[in-house]
Amino acid sequence: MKNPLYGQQCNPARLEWIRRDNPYHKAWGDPRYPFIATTYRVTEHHTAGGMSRWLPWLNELQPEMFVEVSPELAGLRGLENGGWATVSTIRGEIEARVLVTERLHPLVVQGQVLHQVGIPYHWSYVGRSTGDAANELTAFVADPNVSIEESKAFSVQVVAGRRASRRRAAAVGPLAEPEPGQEQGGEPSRDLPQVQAKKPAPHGERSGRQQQTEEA
Amino acid sequence: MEPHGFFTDTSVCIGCKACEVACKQWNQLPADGAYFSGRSYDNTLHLESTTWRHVAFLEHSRQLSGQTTARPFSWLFLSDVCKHCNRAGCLEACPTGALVRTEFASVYLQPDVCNGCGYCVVACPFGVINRREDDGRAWKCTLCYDRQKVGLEPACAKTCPTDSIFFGPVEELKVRAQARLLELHRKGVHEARLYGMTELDQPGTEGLNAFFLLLDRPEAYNLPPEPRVPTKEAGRAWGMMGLAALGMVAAAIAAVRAGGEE
Ligand code: SF4
Repeated sequence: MKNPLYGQQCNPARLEWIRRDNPYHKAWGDPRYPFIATTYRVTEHHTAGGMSRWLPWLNELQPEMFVEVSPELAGLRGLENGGWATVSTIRGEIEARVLVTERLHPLVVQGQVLHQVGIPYHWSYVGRSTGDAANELTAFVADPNVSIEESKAFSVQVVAGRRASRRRAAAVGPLAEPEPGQEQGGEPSRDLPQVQAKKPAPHGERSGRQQQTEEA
Repeated sequence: MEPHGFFTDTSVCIGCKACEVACKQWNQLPADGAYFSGRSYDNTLHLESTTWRHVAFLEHSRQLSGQTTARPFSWLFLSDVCKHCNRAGCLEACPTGALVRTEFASVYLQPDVCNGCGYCVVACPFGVINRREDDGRAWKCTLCYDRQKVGLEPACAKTCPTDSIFFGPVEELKVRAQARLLELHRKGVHEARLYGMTELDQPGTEGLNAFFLLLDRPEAYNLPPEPRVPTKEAGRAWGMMGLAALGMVAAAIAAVRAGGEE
């Protein structure tokens, strides 16, 4: 969905890392990823759960990775409350328990229905309670000043059931084919950033610290 | 010692579950196991022999006054706990005297006396007290008797960041609760009500030492609207039994006399 207020669609100052193992979605109207998602934390766990998922007292309060969807989206995708869903982006896919709740409901923007998916942050592969990590999904886009990753708004695909394997773009390349026409100079998928990530050091150049230790 | 208790004001509870964890930590209770319930953020679901504070999360498609939502909807939190009833079913049912009334008016279970018969479990109108499968004995909230003894407030009240759980002398709590209720009504939260504060509110338990301010009907919180301690019915039950016995005697006499006349 295009921003109706500005011609420029994406933050021109953002940092991006454009390489084959770091693919991006189209910034608007990507039919492969029709739902919008956000990430957040719940009170029961701390940051990515690396510390709190070792505590049975906290694990019993939030025992498993879950995603929250509205009853409408659950109906659309055949998701069952307490069952499994697989959420994917072009970077990775995760499985999670489904929590159907009326707290989320579809937005209507420019006459179009937009379904939302809520994804808590707290799971990963170590601890007494383990689960897939939300960071497998989020795009590598960062702010230009302190390189904080933008992880609060992105688009996803949701299907019912568990994932077959934990596929990652970093290991197998983009998880979805590019949109037809998008590659051959068709409609642009995103405004290009004007600032890019810092260029990797040319081969052979040593960092300042290395040099210092060698001199010493 | 004057009666001490809890006033749990659900209107300021933020559902952080700090009380549930603080309770488990102070009393060294084990976790109940990890079970994803799919019922809002509530994964422990009810009070248990090892869960003495339980934060319930309730989602209803019902608009409450004083709240603005896109659709008719309410998300309610309730930090539930043993009510320490003035007329306590568990205490009256206990044959060993393990359950006693303390000097703070709370109902305290002495684990070294409890023999695990389970009579108290069925006598509680709220389903608070329960037996532990691993040791067989009944366990429930002690209102932190050990902490009260040394002048500390119970762990849950101490930890609650919003003072949703307020601990103190019951008479002071009542004044506080009335004032809060008035304030909420003035702000247009018309469904707000107190649950079990006095004997008049709740004759079945003769009032609770741990009472609540609710934002909807008790049923919306899975609380019984009119709880009754079973022993309250004892007088009537014995009366009925007496009546039945009299009837049997009368029938027997009538039968004998009728037989004798033949
Ligand atoms: S600690 Fe207080 S605010 Fe947090 S869940 Fe318990 S009662 Fe509610």
